[in-house]
Amino acid sequence: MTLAISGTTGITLATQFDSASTFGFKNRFINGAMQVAQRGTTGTSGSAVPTTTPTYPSIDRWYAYATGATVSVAQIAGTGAIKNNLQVSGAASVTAVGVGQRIEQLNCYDLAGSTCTLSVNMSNSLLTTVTWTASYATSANTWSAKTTISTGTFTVTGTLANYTTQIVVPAAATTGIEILFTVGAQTSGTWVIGNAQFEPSTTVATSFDYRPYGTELMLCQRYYYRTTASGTSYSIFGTGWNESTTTGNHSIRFPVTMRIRPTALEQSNTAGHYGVLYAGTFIVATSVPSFVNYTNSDMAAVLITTSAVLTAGQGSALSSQLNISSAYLGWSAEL
Amino acid sequence: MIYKILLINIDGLAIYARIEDDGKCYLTCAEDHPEFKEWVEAGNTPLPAEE
Repeated sequence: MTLAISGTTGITLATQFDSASTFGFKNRFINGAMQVAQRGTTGTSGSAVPTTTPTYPSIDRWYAYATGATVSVAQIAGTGAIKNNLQVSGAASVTAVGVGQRIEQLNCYDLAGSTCTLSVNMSNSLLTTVTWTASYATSANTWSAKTTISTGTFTVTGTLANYTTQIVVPAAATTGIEILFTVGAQTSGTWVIGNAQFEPSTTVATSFDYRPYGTELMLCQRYYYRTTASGTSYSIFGTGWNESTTTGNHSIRFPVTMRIRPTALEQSNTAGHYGVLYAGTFIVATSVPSFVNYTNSDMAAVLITTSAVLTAGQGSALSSQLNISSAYLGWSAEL
Repeated sequence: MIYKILLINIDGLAIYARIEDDGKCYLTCAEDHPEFKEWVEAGNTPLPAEE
């Protein structure tokens, strides 16, 4: 860094401090450190190259697919100063694997017409070639069609190391940017990815942008939100009223305004994990909680069914069964 | 994996349950859910609601 003091221009901090990527939200990836995993620490990839609806198996914001057979994707412990990485475990018959992130238009609009730097930690115990591909959506945040910006390869080893490349983002790329990492037949072994960063920079990759965990979680919750029972006593998800003697209608405010109105509700597949709390009594559900169209980007509505013992019109709460920690409700507004 | 109609809301719109190959249901959705729309556009038809 150069510090220049001039009677004419004042104090000038050159190079690092006036770099485009130095201040504020320089890493346009969300959860590049792989620390947020609301869906759980392990999951199964999608089974085909995604178009409009990728599969997000584990770590927030990172979709994964495999062809030939699915693969396990997990959040694993890192080493040294790195807390977590994403790990793909190879499987027989796999012909290709992809891990990627789609950056929302509003978070990369300013990158159009500039040069950016992609940096990422990687290792692979089986394969040595990782292909990266940058694309932009044909229309805003709509990925049914996309245009390739550029592509290239990293030659990786079994030891985690940092790889960087420069990407010239065209002026037309104002619709959202996707970075996809792919490998070939990962039929065994593991592929590890961490500290992924995509930043505006015309020179070199800068240090990884660690954001506070709470900030990163909130950034993730714009795209996916899951609330999980505490496992202690009854865990209240939301409050509302008994719509009839057999149904409760309850509302849950999202912690962050979601990108778009969610159109589905995820749950644990077990009706007995959920129920209605009212008048000092827990009434177990007879079917799993259901999505309700009243849901918007700020608040969810959930319908729950019980035996005909509720009093219509009374206030009530949607709750987990006693001491159940596997009950959850989840909503997606992913790209 | 299939979808079946779970219920009709008071707004007249259907809610669908996604039934996995093992019979489990982890997701219910509206008819404008992107994954459900893709499934329908692929030529599939949701099952009617159970009586």
